[in-house]
Parts: sequence; structure tokens; C-alpha cells
Amino acid sequence: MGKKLDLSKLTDEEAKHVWEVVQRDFDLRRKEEERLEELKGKIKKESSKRELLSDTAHLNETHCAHCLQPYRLLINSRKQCLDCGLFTCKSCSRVHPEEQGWLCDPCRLARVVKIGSLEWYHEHVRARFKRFGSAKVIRSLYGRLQGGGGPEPR
Amino acid sequence: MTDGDYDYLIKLLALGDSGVGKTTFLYRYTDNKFNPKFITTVGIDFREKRVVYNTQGQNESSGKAFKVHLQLWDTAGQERLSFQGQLQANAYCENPDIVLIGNKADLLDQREVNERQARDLADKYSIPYFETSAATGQNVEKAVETLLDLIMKRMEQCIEKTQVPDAV
Ligand SMILES: Nc1nc2c(ncn2[C@@H]2O[C@H](COP(=O)(O)OP(=O)(O)OP(=O)(O)O)[C@@H](O)[C@H]2O)c(=O)[nH]1
Ligand SMILES: [Mg+2]
Ligand SMILES: [Zn+2]
Ligand SMILES: [Zn+2]
Repeated sequence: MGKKLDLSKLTDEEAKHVWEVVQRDFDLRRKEEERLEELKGKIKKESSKRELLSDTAHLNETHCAHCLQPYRLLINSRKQCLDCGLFTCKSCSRVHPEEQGWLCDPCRLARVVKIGSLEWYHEHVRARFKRFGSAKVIRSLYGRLQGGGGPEPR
Repeated sequence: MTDGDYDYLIKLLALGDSGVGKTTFLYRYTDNKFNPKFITTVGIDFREKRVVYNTQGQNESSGKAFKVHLQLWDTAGQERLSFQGQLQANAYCENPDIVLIGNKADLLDQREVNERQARDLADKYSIPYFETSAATGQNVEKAVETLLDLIMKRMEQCIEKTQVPDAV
């Protein structure tokens, strides 16, 4: 890896600045996590609505699974979602350029959340940060600035 | 300060030697102001900006507008204060999207890198190159928007192409 991190070279003033930046970053990350939790909640709600729908025999043949509007043939043709297999109307899904199919908005959102929350990627980054990244910065600053009262690195 | 009403949080990182204008460039981008004073950055810092990104519609679907929250990381170029080594070592992805920026384009008579060399370097790595000025604002938005466009296109592809990988 690159240059070695040596916080002892910083003056107290400088160390304080870095500490504050790290704090602001934590706030932003926390908000992002809250946002993603909320999105996950929405997705859950949507999927229970869908379960209901698939229990109601044949309703999906005539009505969009998302907005529950009836299809008027030709004007608003129905599209089958690649992920969930339900039919939605055109305005509730997006074309998928490569696989020649459609993704309904909730499934698209689910994919976005998965990528956005980057559960896979967070884990990966977290593992790396544990070793040398911001967690290390915090730990060494924490020692220096007694009574800083900041969040413990996770 | 930041409300959670956005669709994506995107992190950008400014890297380069001390004094090239990273902090001033970002300040121009977020606040549309120019700071002629040189206050060297200590370690790290970041600024934030909310922008709207429009996707182009493909075939039958129409484009969509996404609210993007940008976290613009500023790093210290000075060796003594630098975290750049760490940041690079801990870069979020193996091959990030990059734009190359030659700043202070307004100071014509003090040019240090000729345009040909800069372009050759950018071409070698197939990355976009911009000559910007934080003083006049020339190309500042364009450079950031181009980078955002690269990132968003990649993300769209990622959403559309994959079942997201379980592990990296
Ligand atoms: N004329 C002109 N001056 C600029 C421009 N960009 C930055 N400067 C000036 O160059 C000096 C250094 O700019 P900074 O933004 O502080 O440089 P930096 O890259 O952040 O430096 P470090 O924080 O030490 O890494 C400041 O006095 C700026 O006002 C520009 O486009 N044109
Ligand atoms: Mg700076
Ligand atoms: Zn619908
Ligand atoms: Zn679906």
C-alpha cells in the first residue's frame, strides 16, 4: 500500500480538523443507512401487496401489479418483469436493454437498493477499512483527543 | 443539513499535488465562488452538493430524473498532511471512473504542462481530459458532470445487467 499514515506528525489543531471531518462523514453515512433502511421497508410493503395479488386468481392478467390499473389493450400493453414475473403496465416498468425484457419499478428499486446499499460492497469496504482506513484514523485520533466523545468505529 | 430525499449518494475524490487548485475547484463547483487565497488543506475535507441527473430513455421507456447527493472529497497535496496514499490504497473500487483535469487554464503565461502531453496521458488511459479554471469557472461543471455521467452509466449497467454479485 501507499504512504504510511502518521498522525503524530499533525499538530493538535490539524488533528482536530481531521477529527471533525471524520465526524461529518459519519453523519452522512448514518443518514445514508437510514435512507436505505426506509427503502427496504417500502420494498417489503410492496412485496406483501404482491403476495396478496398473486393469491387473487387471475387479477394480474387484467390489472397492473403495481398501480392496479386495468390494461387497455394496445394503449397500455402489459409487460412481464424479468425478476418477479408479474405483469405491470408500461408506465410501471422500464425496458431492459440487454436482456430484451422489462423490469418493474419495485424490482428495479430492489436492485438499486442492493447496489446502492452495496451490502456486498460495504462488507468488502468495511473489511478493508478495518485494516487501514478511516477506522484506523479514528482510533489513533481518539487516543489523542481525549474527551472527543465521538462514535466508536464499527 | 442533508435531508435524505435523494436517490443516490455518490462519492468523488480530488487528487493532485499541493497548490494545483483542488480545494478552489471544488469550492467553485459547489458554491460558484472563487477563493484567491491559498490555505493548504489539512489531511482531508469534503463538500456536498445536490444535483439532478437525467437518464436518457431507451427504446420505449422515457428518461428519468434522479436526485444525486454528491460527497466531494478533497485531499491534501502536501506530503506531510497527506492521506492520499491511504485513500488510494483504500479506493472503493478497483477501477474507478476518472477524469483528468488541468486547472488554472486562465493563467495562460504560467502554463506548466502543455496540452499535448496532458491529452496524450488521458488518451493512454482512455479518460476524458478538461482544462478548467476555478477563477473563471470555465469547464468546472462540465468536468464534474462528465465524471458523474460515467458513474451513473456504469451504475445503470450494473443494475440492468447483473443479479448483484454476492461477494467481491
Ligand atoms: N488563477 C487561478 N488561480 C487558481 C485556480 N485554481 C486555484 N487557484 C489558486 O491556487 C492556489 C492553490 O489552490 P488550492 O485550491 O488551495 O490548492 P490545493 O490543490 O487544494 O492545494 P493543497 O490543499 O495543498 O493540496 C490558491 O491561491 C487558489 O486561489 C485557477 O483556476 N486560476
Ligand atoms: Mg486544498
Ligand atoms: Zn401500472
Ligand atoms: Zn418485478
